[in-house]
Amino acid sequence: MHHKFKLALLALTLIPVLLAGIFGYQMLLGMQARNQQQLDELISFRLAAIETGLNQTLDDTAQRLLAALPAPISEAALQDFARSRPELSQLLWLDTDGQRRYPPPAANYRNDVTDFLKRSEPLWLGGELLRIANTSKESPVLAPAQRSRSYDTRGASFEDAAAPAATPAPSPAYGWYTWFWGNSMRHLLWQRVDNGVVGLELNAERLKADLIAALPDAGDADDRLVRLYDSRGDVLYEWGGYTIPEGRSPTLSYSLAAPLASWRLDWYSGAQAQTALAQNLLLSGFLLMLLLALGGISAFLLREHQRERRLSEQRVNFVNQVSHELKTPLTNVRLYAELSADQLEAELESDHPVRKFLKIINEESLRLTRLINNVLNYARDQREQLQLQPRPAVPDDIIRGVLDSFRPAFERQGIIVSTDLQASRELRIDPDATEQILVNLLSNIEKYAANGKSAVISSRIDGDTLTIVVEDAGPGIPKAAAGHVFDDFYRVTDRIDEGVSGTGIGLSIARQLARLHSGDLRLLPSASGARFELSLRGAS
Amino acid sequence: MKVLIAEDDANIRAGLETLLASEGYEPRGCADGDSALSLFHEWQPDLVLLDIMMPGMDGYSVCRSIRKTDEQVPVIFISAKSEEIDRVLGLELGADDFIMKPFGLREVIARIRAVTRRTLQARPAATATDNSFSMRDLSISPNELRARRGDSTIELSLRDIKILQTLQARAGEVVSRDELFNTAWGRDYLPSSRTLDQHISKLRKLIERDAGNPEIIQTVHGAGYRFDP
Repeated sequence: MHHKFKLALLALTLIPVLLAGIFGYQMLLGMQARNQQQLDELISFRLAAIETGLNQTLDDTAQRLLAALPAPISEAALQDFARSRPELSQLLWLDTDGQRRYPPPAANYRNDVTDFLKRSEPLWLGGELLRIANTSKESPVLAPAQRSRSYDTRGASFEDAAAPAATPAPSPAYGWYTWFWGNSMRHLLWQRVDNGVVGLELNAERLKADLIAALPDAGDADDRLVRLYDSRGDVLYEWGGYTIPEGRSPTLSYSLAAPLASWRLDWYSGAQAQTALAQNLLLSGFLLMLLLALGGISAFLLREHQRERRLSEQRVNFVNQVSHELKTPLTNVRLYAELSADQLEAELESDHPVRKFLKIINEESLRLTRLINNVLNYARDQREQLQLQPRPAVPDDIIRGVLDSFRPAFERQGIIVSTDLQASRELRIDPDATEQILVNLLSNIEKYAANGKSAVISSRIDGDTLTIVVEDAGPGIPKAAAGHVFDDFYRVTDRIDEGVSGTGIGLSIARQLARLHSGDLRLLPSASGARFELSLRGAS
Repeated sequence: MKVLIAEDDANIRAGLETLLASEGYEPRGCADGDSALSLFHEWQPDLVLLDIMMPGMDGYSVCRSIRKTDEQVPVIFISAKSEEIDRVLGLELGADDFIMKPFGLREVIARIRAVTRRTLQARPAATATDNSFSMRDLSISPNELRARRGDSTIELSLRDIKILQTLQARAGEVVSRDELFNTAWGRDYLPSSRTLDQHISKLRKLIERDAGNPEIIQTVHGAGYRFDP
């Protein structure tokens, strides 16, 4: 029982902590997933804004250059224009027939022009750029709105950027052409003019510098790091104060659209890891607190329980000690009363009052023995030491033995006991416990039902079950008391002037003993008197 | 038969001695375990009654010591605690029986007789010879401490057997009170003048068909008792 109590306390401590742990962890996972999603959306939004900024820069550059474009286009004007615009690397002009007019056909070119002609050959050979300019449907500025993802929290700048795309232009007057050459991306801005098409190839380094200058100033925000990669996969620029742990992949990777296609923005967020860590710490802390609190309560309960147990053990030990101390004088009373009766057997005539006195002394010593045994059994039961010692016994012999011990008292009170004993087969039961139960039932008849003048005891064996019914013709047990007669220390009447003594533990012990036998002791309904049925499970 | 009684309560010890003496045993008592053990070796009793809780050496230890030198002598434990009895049963001390306090005369007598029967029957002489004898329609088996008449069995004490043996051996002759007393009680015993008559009276109730008109033990007034075959 003590062990069970400890286990129960342990379970009461650990199960809630475990459950809280499981639920908390699941909630945490859910929260983290939600946070991650929100974070992803936020980062996407920010990256889209950066892209918009870059496109804006690109577009500004285009507008600026196109505004300054000389008109009408001539070889000389273009040459001047190229010299005055550092953001330009080379120029290309195709006339309305698709013939290259600039750089003008010549026998010898400067190295850079030769290179340009080489790399731009696909554009001018066969008037390809003119065809592109005439058939292009694409808007020169690419807004994020054209991308597959859309955002509820879209800023005004997005709307603006997206507006040109929303208005269908039959064929834009200018556009971008990008291509790879060598190991870098070339950007060429084209513009339809009266006499053909002009292509402005941008200085790659200058363009990068302009674009980097347009990137937002992230300061030293140490919860993030953003990297801009060019088409070669080289980091063009990075900003933010977050130190990326070894092997960490970006929180979000964002590919830019044309004309900056194949450029990429990677966002590394430190906030997410910190949040997760903080949440885990919070959950762990909560669980630890819960464990401590429940553990504290359990420890307190355990200590109280142990104290209670110690007290009850002390009480039980005291009762035990006293009961055993009582047994020595009781042995002497009984021994000497019997020795005296034996001695006087031959000397005194059979109706001599001394014989009767000795008989009463003897009976009372027997009664005292029963009471002490009851108290001891009760004490043993309280210490959970009540154990059966089953051995083969004939139930009817036990019944007769008990009846014999009650015979003198019953005779004196005029109680006639009739029997119907049919349990004459050997059964493995605890004879002492069975005797104790019967003694308690018969004591009750002696104490409470003497005026009924009769009692019936019947026994039978069905299979392994022994059933003994004891009924008397006394006043019976009031209905209100019927539910309590098996309670410890319960007595139907506590009035001292009733003249009936008892401790109120007899039936309680009797039932305990019966239940230890996998049986029971029950009060059966009866028209008059009390009727108890004892059933015991034994082995044949 | 010599019975050693080890019991620390003087009154219980004296009561048991009285009881055993009246049964025809030769009892000697002692109050603690150590003297019980020395008395056992010195006196060589045929039966030992051992209280468990005693000053000094307790009953378990005394029994263990006895068993080291003697595996045969019957030992009966006496205790007020059923837990102690459980231990006796569990310890395999070689105890023959136990008696719970508070005990009644009949219980003690029944247990001691049962143990005595086993002892008598286990003696080498007993197995070799059957010392049963008859007195009229009564058949007496001394080794069983029993007499039989027809289907009924009568339980007898050692002393009863001695009295009947003496009378039967001198069948037809008058056995004087002093003679009978000396054989059944021993010369050292100084009983009251009525002890013998009382005992005969009780014995008649057991073995005679009609105790008021005895057939087996007849009184020869002024001389003693006689058995007429």
